[in-house]
Amino acid sequence: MRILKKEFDIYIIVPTICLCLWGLFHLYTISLEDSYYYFERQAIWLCFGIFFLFLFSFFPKEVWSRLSYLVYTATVFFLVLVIVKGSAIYGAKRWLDIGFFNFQPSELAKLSLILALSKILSGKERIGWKNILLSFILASLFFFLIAVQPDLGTALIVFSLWLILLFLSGISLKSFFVLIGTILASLPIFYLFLRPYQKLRILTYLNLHKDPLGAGWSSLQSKIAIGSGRIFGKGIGGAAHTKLKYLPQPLTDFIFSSIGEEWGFIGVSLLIVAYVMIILRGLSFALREGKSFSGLFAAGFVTLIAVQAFINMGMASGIIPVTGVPLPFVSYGGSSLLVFLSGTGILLSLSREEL
Amino acid sequence: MPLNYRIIERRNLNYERRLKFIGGVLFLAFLLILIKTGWLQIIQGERFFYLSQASRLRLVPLPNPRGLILDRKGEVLADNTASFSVAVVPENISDPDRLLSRLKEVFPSMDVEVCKEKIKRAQNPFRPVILREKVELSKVIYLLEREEDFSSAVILAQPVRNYPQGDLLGNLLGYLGEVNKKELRALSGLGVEAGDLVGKTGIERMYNSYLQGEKGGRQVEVDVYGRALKIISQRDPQPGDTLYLTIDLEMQKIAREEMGKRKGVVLIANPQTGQILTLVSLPSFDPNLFSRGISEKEWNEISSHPGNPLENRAIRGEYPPGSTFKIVVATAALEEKKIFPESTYYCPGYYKVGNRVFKCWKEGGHGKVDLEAALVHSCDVYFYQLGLKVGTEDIIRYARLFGLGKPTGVDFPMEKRGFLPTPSWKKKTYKESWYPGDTANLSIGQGYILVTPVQMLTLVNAVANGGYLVKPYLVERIVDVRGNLVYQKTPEREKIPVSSSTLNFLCRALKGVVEKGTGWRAKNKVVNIAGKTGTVEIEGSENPHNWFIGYAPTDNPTLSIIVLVENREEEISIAPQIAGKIFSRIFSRA
Repeated sequence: MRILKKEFDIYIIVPTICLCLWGLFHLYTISLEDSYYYFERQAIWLCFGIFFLFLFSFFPKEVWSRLSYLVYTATVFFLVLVIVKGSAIYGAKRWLDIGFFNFQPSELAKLSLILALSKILSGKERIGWKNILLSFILASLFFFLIAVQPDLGTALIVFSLWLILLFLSGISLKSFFVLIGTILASLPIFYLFLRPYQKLRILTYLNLHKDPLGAGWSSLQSKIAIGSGRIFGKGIGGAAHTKLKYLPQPLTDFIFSSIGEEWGFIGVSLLIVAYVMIILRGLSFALREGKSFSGLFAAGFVTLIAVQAFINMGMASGIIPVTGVPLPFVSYGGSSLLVFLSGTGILLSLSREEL
Repeated sequence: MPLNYRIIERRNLNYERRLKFIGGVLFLAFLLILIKTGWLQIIQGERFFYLSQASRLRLVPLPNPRGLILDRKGEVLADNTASFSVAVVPENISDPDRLLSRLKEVFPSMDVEVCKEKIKRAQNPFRPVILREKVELSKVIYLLEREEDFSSAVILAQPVRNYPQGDLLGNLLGYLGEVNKKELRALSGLGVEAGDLVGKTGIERMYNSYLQGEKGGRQVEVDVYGRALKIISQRDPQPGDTLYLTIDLEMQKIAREEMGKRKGVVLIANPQTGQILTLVSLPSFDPNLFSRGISEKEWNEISSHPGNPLENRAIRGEYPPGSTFKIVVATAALEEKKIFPESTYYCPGYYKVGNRVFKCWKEGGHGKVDLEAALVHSCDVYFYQLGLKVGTEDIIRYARLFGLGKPTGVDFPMEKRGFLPTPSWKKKTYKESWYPGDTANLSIGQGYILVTPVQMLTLVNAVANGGYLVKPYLVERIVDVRGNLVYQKTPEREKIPVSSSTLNFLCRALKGVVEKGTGWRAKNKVVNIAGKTGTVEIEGSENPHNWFIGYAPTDNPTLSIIVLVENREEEISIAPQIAGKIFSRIFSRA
């Protein structure tokens, strides 16, 4: 019935590659003179990432379901390893130094969790408490291993991935709301375990302008950068606010602010259109595949992209508190780029039209 | 089977619905981002654009040195030095407790808690917070040598006005202070901004617009740490112009020494041109106190001092002229031909006007005196009668001719005008007629009349220079930083309608005052002095004010002098003695 018209879904691959190249070019334009260190490194990772994308897309689609537990186990190993011997940057132990680059296992964890949860939750007629508990254990193991790094943003993403996949897998709404209620009730307890800077970030969000120097400073500067881009932006290389270091981490967490400054509302709209294309394509594939491994994976993966993009852009534009979450495909950072491109490769492999 | 199939179907339906629900939520989320960025970039775009410019463009004022004030020979009367402050940039402090405790070792009187509070309250974490001002050079060097211990501290240098002569010229030069609201309104067109220092009194105030120069400015692009990365535009600061005063520092010092601890005034001038070579007003103050930031205690001490050291008495002090005013009365009498110089009156030591008895200063009287003798010996009885003969109207008219009762126009802020009483004024003020007794009092320079020392200077100058009213002045010329002449004073003079015979008579009489009369204490071996003494009884004080107004040498006057000793403590007439000593020292040096 289905005929191989095209090997790959170009509605996914084209916006993905566009986002990556734009991100790389943007990195180039906001680099200070004679300092293309970040640009060069990102370019190398992008080559690797695209290689993985195509490599994985050629894998037979059955492989992923089988590999998922293995990937999960490997990720647990890396996450434990990072706690034991990881290198600390900005007071957080998130990186594994593996020679040529610092690998961030928490990025990989997002992908492995989607794989593992898709496997557990797919193909079941009914999702009972047994499966819920099992999936909870898988997710919360990651959650705690990541939260202790500490990387609250990623830990929360991991947690929300679990909720979304559980929701999709057909768990009854009653059970779902019981879960949500339990979680909400335990939030105040969880708050006690937050690091002071994390508490500060949440508190500052509630009253931004009173503290223009602390966490609110970043948020304010970010809004100034975005707003100052106006409709058409300050032009290529014109992101003065970014270049003068008013923005903290303009290459990763706050890259959206510098895009807003340099490319204006037009650029922001194009960026959002690219994400929406990928997400719509992924969701429609998931719709077609039904509640299978492929369907759940596709839904989970594009939701991950959407959630991260939303958190990153929302943080930069002042909708949500400041948490360090990279913008998928665009932010500087090898781990994130490789994981997202690999995930896209898997998605392409799953969605490859059969002969 | 169909049942089972339906269940699966329903579950898939469920899945589809939930997937669409997620898709809808994500769509709304992205729409929210789009709306928010649209709000930031389109609605608020201009504001944020302005903010981004404002936060990265900074105007760095480039301080310009205030103009120098020099004496006529180029001796420095006011210049600028640096004052050092220790500050910290809050953003750069890694360990405030450690830094503060180290600073405490250097500055034992520093209050660590107060400093901590200051740092905490800083509005902009990238702007230095001054912890300590007026740091001695030795401590600055100490801090710089141990830079690694104090790496987050910065030393700021600020220009400070310096007056090398201390209180010698305090109330002549004036002092600087932060511009107040009223001054700001008046000076805003001249580039003065809030927080600037401006001359508050004296020469510093009078010539502020020349001295202040033009502040420079540099528009720089700064990064978030406040580091200047690029200069966008720059305007070079223009140093203030240099003022050459007419003051001769050496004479000033002599006059000051001879006045000792007395209260009063010494003015020395060139009678031909009106250049003021010496202006001593005592008590004085040290304007450096203000430059360094005056403490409340010092301010109270100065402002509540009974001698009022901030006031320049030579220009703003008003006193009855006493017998020095007899020059005016004599001139009026001669010019109006009320008497001949030879006319005599008999002085028994008193004179009755109506039923009031007016005494001569000399008990027993001077006997028969003519006009010259009456001036030489300052006979009051003679002048009571002469004054009554001349009449108030003419006395006042000649007083005006000599420049009394109106500002001399000296280049000093807020000159006082003195006061010449008239019958109509008295009627208006006291609802009383002008009595002959008032005229008698006026004739010897007492009663309601008030003059300033600088007015008496123009009076004595007119006698010395052959009848010209010359405008006294303090600033000879102004030169800009490149040496170009900006301003050169040309003497302003105006002939008084007084005959030369009257002037010759006055010169002869004033010469006699020192040779054989009341001014004999001015006599010295170096130079012949002419002049007139005056003693003013002050209500409520046993010690009279003592005047000497004169000039030297008698035949060709080159210098005129005013000495006023307030509430002299000596029994003798001290003013002519001081004048004599000053002139003998000045003329012996040439």
